[in-house]
Amino acid sequence: MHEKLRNLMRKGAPDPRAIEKFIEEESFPMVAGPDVTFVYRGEADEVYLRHWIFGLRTAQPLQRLAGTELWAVTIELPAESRIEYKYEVIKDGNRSLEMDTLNPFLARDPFGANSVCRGYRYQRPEWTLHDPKSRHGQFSRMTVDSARFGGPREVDIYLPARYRDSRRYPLLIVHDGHDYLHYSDLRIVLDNLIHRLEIPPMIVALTTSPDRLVEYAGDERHADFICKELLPQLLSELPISDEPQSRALMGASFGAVATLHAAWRNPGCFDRLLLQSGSFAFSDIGDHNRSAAFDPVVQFVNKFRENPGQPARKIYMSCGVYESLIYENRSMVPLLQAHDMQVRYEEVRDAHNWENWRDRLRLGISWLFPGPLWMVYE
Amino acid sequence: MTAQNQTSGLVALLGPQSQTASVAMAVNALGVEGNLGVITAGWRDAEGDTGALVDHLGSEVTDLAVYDRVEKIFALDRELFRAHRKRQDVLKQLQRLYRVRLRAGADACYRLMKRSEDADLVRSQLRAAISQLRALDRFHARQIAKVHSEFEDEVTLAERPAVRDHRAELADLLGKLGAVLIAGGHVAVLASRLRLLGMRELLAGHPLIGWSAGAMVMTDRLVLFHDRAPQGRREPELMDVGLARAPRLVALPAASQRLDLAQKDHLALMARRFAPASCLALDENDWIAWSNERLLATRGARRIRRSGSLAEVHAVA
Repeated sequence: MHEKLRNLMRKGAPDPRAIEKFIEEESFPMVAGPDVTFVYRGEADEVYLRHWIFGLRTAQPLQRLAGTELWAVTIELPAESRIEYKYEVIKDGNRSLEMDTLNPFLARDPFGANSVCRGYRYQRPEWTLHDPKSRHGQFSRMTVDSARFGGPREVDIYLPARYRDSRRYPLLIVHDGHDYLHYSDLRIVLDNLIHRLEIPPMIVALTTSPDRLVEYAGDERHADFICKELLPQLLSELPISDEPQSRALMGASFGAVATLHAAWRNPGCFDRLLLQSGSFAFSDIGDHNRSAAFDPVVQFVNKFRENPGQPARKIYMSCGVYESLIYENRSMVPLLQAHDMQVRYEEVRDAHNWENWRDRLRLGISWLFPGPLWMVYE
Repeated sequence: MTAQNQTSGLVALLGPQSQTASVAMAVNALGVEGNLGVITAGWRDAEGDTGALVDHLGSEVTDLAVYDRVEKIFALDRELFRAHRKRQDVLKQLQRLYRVRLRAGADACYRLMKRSEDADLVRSQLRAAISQLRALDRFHARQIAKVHSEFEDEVTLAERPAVRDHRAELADLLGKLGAVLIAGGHVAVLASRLRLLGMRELLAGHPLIGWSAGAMVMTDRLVLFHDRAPQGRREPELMDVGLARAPRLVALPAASQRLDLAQKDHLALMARRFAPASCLALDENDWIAWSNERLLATRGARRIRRSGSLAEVHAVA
């Protein structure tokens, strides 16, 4: 337990004013090096810390501090960790998942939001925050009339600040583009990295799927949509550099599967891939032990592992060590390297979430497309 | 700071101008007279966008349109353009190969700097390792010079009509100017365009005031550096030769921002590797000026010592 919390309880149950003062003065969770104390305040029968750290018990019970409405548990969290969590509160036989009202840091995702615990030495990268000096890119929308999907697909296009038709730009196509925008601050990141010359000005196409668990799971229609419908239209309508090394495809989770699958089925289409926390489930023998949504993924990854070919020449991969997918991602690296692909692989103390993927964008995109920083002295 | 109204052979090197512009201060302090010309080729297709500079100076400037002139030359003379691209490709390959040896050589130096064996033994090994790095830089500089020289001979650069016409126009323009400002920007583009137009000869004797990349190209060795790039630090690389108007200098614009000044080993190696040239840190507001190799004025500029510490610039003179 954190020392300050111990001091508060030293002489028994403190009076409500002392608790109020304590809550006002401290920040929560209470981080003291690797020891992190989570504190819940409220009337309950049981309280659990629910987190998404693969390898730890999913629900860790909090202990009530005698005579108070305070509950606490201390866990050990290595340096630079960042985890998302909620409290599971059981009261009068009812269970509810609650965010930590004492903690202002939230991470949003398509399913809602979680509280964020920033372990010691974790700092949100400053390049993920709005910088008034960075000029904004602009968005436009493109409709792709997809024969593969039998209908139109909307794609949002990011055009960098100072965009000019007369220039030629690298292209990055992003799976789950809107989620990257909303939950990983992709626009801010692009604006900042371009402004800082860490990546070149680029055109970014943001795709979204109405049924990602199917279309991103090694679906041939999707691979063809990306390479035979979307890419040609982008090349014909926008000033994109001709050579494949100026084209990258990226995605996270199932989006990373879709990325690898599309590039694998269409070698030479994309020279560069950015794969975050790829759901690269496979089986060496027998069945996999994941949900049915993974069936086509496992089929594809098994085929890929048998015959990787060379879907791209330069690949950035990242995975959180608190993810269940860490084993699959680690396994992918030597396979790619053995087939003459240049791989930069990064592991971090984070889990399967959009802020993990946000925090990796600088290293990933600048690895695939280094900016002119080295050459420019303003 | 000292200043004299002596502009013959004047060369002034300034740090970045992004936050506070000090060009006007340098122009006034150095007593530059006559119309000002400006080279903004480092801005590439934003060349000539000099509104903020004109506002800052409070007077018009003549844009020498160096970038645009080369674009026009290339549009007219496709053979020259192709030869130029080929040369650039060769230079890029050279740079990659040089980098392989540089990384290994520098790594050996850093390892030796950390050894704790007999100090005399380590010192002599380190001296030899640095000497190898210096030899590598000299070799690389010769290779670059050879590529340039072969290109210029092969295409008979000075005799090509489009090049000749623009050089003549520039000579005419320069004759009417009191001094030329060289802005920062993309240093490779700037250096390449200046070279193609023969600006080293055309600018000879003209007072020059350059900032950031513009300061780098006034030296004889262009050294690229950045300790804080997303992919991590790279050892400073010799990239090209400059106008050589400020010889025996390595200009390091925005040094506090780009270099990790706490890494004394890195700084010490840089100072020793490029000696007898002085590695000169030029931050925002810093400037230094010479006339005929005599130090005229300085403000804020610091040089890197062999120990890796920074010293006031008056020690450079």
